Amino acid sequence: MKLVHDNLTQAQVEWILRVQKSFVDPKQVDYIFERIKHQGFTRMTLDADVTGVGSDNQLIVEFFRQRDAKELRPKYTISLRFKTYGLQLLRLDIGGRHKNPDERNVRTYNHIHLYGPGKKHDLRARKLTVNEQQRIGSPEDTFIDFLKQTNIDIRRNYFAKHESN
Amino acid sequence: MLNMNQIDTASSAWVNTDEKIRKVGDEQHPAYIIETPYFQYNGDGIDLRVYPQLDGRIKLTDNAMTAFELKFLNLKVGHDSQLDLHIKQIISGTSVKIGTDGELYCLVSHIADVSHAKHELMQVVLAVGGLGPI
Repeated sequence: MKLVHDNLTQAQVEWILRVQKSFVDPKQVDYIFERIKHQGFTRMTLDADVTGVGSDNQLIVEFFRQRDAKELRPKYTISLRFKTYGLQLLRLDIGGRHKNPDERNVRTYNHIHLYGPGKKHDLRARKLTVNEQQRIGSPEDTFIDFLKQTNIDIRRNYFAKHESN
Repeated sequence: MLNMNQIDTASSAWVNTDEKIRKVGDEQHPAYIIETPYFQYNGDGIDLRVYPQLDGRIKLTDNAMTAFELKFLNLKVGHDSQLDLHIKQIISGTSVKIGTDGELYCLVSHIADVSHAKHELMQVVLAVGGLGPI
């Protein structure tokens, strides 16, 4: 499918999220899971390339966590975006603050940015639904859920290792 | 038509309401979060963090959040010479430094200098964050 990255339709965005995708290098994914699982207080930027939407449309999934003090509520971001163009398709902000253009006050709430129409595609965010909020668990669990929701195939090897621990 | 009393009240309310400084962490890992009234281009609030250093100095930092947000504008700090030059120009003459992963930070030796450092860091964060297309 020919995609105009800065002018995607709603149908195209939904198709990109729905189509089965996979990681270019499964070892990158293993590394990400291990780092998230054993994270300490350090800042983390972890990413892995994703394919499945056409050779011109390589994607990248990224986990970003700022350095957190021990008592702090979790604050991290998981995003899926075009690798070459940077444009965000879907972004989950846990523990972040956000204000939509038509809102007066900023609020702290778990929210999702989805690629939207117009010039600034990631300006708007919505609150997580009850179902989505219930699925938020540890950063590792949330990352796994994000990959499932965006149909990025997780290698079975990971789950075999994970379950045996 | 707004009168001056309304403007004074509105502006002070906005500043007083929307900047919060919270102490977080424990005795081993003390820290403060400054929730500023400012936003990234995507509407997410800009936070600064304050950490004590082993050498007794205080670090104010954006925790590389600005550099992370620039990726969504296809700007990669440390991988784009023109961008890096722009950032260098922005921080030139300020007390702000840039780390290897794009972290913007100030190191302060005296508590009396924290306010000025926060101001400079905030100016740089907004300027660097604004380097992408609007």
